[in-house]
Amino acid sequence: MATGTVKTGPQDLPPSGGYGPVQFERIKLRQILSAKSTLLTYAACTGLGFFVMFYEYRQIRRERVEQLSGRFAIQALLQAERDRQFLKQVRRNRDAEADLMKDYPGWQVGKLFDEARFIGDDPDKFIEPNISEYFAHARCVGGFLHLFNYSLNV
Amino acid sequence: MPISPIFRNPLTDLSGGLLTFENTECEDRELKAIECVEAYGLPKGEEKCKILITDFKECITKFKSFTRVAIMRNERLRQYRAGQREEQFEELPRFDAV
Repeated sequence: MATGTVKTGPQDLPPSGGYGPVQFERIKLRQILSAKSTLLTYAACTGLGFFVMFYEYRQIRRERVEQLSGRFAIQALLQAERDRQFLKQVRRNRDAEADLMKDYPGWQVGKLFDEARFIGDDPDKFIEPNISEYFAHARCVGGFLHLFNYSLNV
Repeated sequence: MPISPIFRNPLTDLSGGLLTFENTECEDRELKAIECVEAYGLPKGEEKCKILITDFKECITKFKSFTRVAIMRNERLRQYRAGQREEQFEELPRFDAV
């Protein structure tokens, strides 16, 4: 249903005297910075930035060298502590195994029943445990936690 | 028993180490076992060098070690379920030790 009234009057025509003039020339925007001053500002900012970065980076290098020197100085201590902690953990594992398997028939600590891991070796020789033996009495997620912590500290 | 290749080319020496266990923890055991078998010959060496070969196999497969860990874990789980143990696991090893 068409609504509204049907136009029946005279036809639409241009206003008397014609339409006004059409604006088709470009109107330039108001200029705040000219090309030259833009380039100058850019050069000044970049130069200042490089200048500051040069001095800051020199300071950062100095501090990094200092940190590295300190780390190198205590490297032997850190490694010794790490080895010590490793051996302590191996002893803890052995004690845990002895406590755990005391009622297990035929079990000997450090061996698979009565068979040593390496038959030909000296029984007093220290066998470095692999990763599954090292985490044998801890949760399965322990190795991943160690890996994550280790990768954070590198 | 070292087996020398029929054709030698530059890749022979480059790829020679890929088939052995050199640069691993088992290189000494491998060398000892190989030299023992070489001294006695293959048929006699298999019985004479049995200990060396067994140790070398244990070194590369770690079968006994994994079996040990599996038995201990099963025993721990059994004790925990039977109520003989309050905590199933021991404390986590300290960080930065490995």
